[in-house]
Amino acid sequence: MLPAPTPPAPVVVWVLIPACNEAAALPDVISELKNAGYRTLVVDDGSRDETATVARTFADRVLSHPINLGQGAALQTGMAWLVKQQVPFVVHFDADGQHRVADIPAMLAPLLADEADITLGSRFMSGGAAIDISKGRKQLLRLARITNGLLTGLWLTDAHNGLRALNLKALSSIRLRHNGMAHASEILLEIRKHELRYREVPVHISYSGYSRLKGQSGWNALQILSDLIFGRIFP
Amino acid sequence: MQPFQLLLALFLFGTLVLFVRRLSGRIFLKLVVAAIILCGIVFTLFPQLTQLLADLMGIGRGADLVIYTCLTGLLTTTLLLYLRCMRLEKMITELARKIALKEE
Repeated sequence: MLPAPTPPAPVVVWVLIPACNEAAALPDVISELKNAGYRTLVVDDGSRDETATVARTFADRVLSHPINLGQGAALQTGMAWLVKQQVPFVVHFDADGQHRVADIPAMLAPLLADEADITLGSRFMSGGAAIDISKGRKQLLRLARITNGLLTGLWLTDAHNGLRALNLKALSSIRLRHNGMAHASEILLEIRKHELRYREVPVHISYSGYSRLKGQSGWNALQILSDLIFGRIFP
Repeated sequence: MQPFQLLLALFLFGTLVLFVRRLSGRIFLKLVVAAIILCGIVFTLFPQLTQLLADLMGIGRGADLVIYTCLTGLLTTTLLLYLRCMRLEKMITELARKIALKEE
């Protein structure tokens, strides 16, 4: 079983939500996070819909990219702001509702106990789950996991899972240069570079029709791979 | 002289004029571009010259020499443009981030 959820009340925990054209899903996601006692920062990544307006109504803070740059860039912008505020703990959370708020306390526990600087959510650890995941996606993730291991030297049980928790040390040392989706692998590289203590935590990811529609297609995997390889050749 | 030679030479000449007029103030780049295009015009009008050079270099045909040189040039240019694109992307990102952080 999971360790008993730590009430987030005494420590300030910010949840960083990169969002591009997520006006429909945002209100529920943010409300649920706020009800659980978290502060919310939405980085609107040049959305063409009402994301910015919706976010301003619900979230504690909203930063808006004037143009669409990619999820990696949105996370980096959010992290830059959070570092300036010297926020002690940050959770990366997807806007499309595929992550579970109830998983956050377990993600934070190793940070609060000072046993890790960063925790990474894993669907495939015992105790975790990938709900309604397609077979193809599962194979793709297996491949991504191996690619990540080869490229970064970090052998994890899951890959490209947006749910992460960082303490201030991890927050201020990690710097994302890849604007696109390669940031998930880049974070692993940064973990190694800065010798951060990391740990995987089982989480539940649900592949609803909506998140599947909004999520990445398998072809993006190729894009990510080429980003990573070119990024290593031409830093 | 074949009609195609005349067409190609005219086309290259047009490009030359366009480039030299556009690249205002960048003397060095102007000279390099002009030299390359002039070479192209000369070789178009006097193809035997490429054969002379090819023999000098130990390449079978003059046309092959032209192909090799062009391919190398194209690859280099592509790579340089790619690197420049990356630099620009970085700058745009920084700019957008600055705007986002300033507006909050």
